[in-house]
Amino acid sequence: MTVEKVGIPKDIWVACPTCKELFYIHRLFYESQFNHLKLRCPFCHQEFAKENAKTWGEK
Amino acid sequence: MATRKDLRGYLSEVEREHPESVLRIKKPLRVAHEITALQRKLDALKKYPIMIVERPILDNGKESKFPVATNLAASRDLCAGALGIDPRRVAVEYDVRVSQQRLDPIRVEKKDAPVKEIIDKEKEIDLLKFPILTHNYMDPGPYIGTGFVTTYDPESGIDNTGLQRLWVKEPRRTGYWPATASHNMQNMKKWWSRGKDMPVAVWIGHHIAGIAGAQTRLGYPESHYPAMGGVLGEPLRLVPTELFGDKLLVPADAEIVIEGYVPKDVFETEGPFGEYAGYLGPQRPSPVIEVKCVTYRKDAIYHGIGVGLADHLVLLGNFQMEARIYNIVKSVVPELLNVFVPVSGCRAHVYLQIRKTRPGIGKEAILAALPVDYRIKHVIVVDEDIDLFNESEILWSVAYRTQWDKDLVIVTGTAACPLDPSLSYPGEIGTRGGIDATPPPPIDLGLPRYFQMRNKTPDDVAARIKLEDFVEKVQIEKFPTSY
Repeated sequence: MTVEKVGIPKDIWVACPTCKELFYIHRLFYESQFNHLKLRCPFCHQEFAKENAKTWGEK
Repeated sequence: MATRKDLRGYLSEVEREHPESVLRIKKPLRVAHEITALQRKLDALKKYPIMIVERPILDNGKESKFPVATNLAASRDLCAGALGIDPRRVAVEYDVRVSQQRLDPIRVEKKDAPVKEIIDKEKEIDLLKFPILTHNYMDPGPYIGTGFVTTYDPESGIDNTGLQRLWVKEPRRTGYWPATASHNMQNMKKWWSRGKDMPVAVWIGHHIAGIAGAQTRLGYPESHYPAMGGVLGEPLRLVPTELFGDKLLVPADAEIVIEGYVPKDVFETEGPFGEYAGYLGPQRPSPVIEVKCVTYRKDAIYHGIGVGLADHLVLLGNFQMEARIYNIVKSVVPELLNVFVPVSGCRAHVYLQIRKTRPGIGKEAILAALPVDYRIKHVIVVDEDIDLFNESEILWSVAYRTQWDKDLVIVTGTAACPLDPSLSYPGEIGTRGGIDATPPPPIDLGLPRYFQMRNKTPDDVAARIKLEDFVEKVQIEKFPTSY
């Protein structure tokens, strides 16, 4: 996926599966070294796997 | 009476000499967003008093016994004054006054170190009792923004200090993001390659002159402590840490010191976090610090920072950038007069002032400035008739002294600031450029330029008509403005 001006976005938008608030993560989380790391919602502080959340921009 | 060379000494000095520059907040304010909200509203008005919040409310609803001091590094005039520098000559004077000063530190005993008045270890530690600020929307919690992270090279034993952010995740655990190119990152890689956790000490709160010294750009490995002493004007007093003894010393007159380890190969999520670029940076994987000891003054003052505001930019980066740019560009373009890194550009903009004596030197100055720092993205060169510190004049210079097809310099494929949201992934390479907004030089010495003159009043009339002869100052302040 590419966006206007930016090209491949550095940031992936995520909706927290618990509180549904939106935030964004660095694309580094999709690299093999960090792929296993759980995300943490900055609003409700729940940890979750990115595979369990709705995301935008990773493809 | 000599002022103590520490944070409270600096605050006393400013309150004594510039009482109008200090705002004491006596009403309670929450550390979660409210203190930064007030700071941001003042920032929007371009007002930068030092703020002392006497009754900060912690996230647990209780009033902290420690006050917060913030906006210490925001005012260009106050910061330059603390360093003995003319605020409009920082580029020229900073190196001599700050970067080149060195005084070897002295070691003091624990009993003579105010930062050792209270020592908490292991389960006694609770970082959340300090009024650490949550600054921006989407920040996951309190962040230490003025933590000077000190580590040491396991090969040489030489210490290094860098201002790096720490998310206080738990009472005894923080996130830690050392920038890729930083010397602390180099130390961390060395410790980890030896199979060991990296020892670390984070000190918070010192005299603003000492903090300027701690920001000096040095080689690797090289301690910042002599530079701090040089700027303070006296040897920096150091005391051994509780965990590492004489292997890692910290300023004895700091307000708070946090000691611990960066565990090998441990990465956890960190952020999102609003950064100096003015944008909310994404959540990312980062190392952590396991906190094992905290020492502090019994009446510690917590030094907070206005993240993404002038407080984050002026003393904590812009001054040093101006000096480096000046020294490097001057060696190539001797006609360089001054350099200004404005708050408005969040370190991406640089304005250069030259005396245009020959063709082409505007673009030469741009090409010399661009590689000085990876954060420089846009350079505007103006002539000596422009007030370098007046951004309206800078833009007026661009308006009618430039043609896009003649006066632009664009360099693609350069190292870029990783915080820049306009970059494509992985965000390491970008484009930089500049615009030469100078008019042509005179055709010869003493001859006019082939360029129209600015509107002006004849000199004798301008000298004769004085504003104060016709209107009171208090009336002027009430007149309408325009934009």
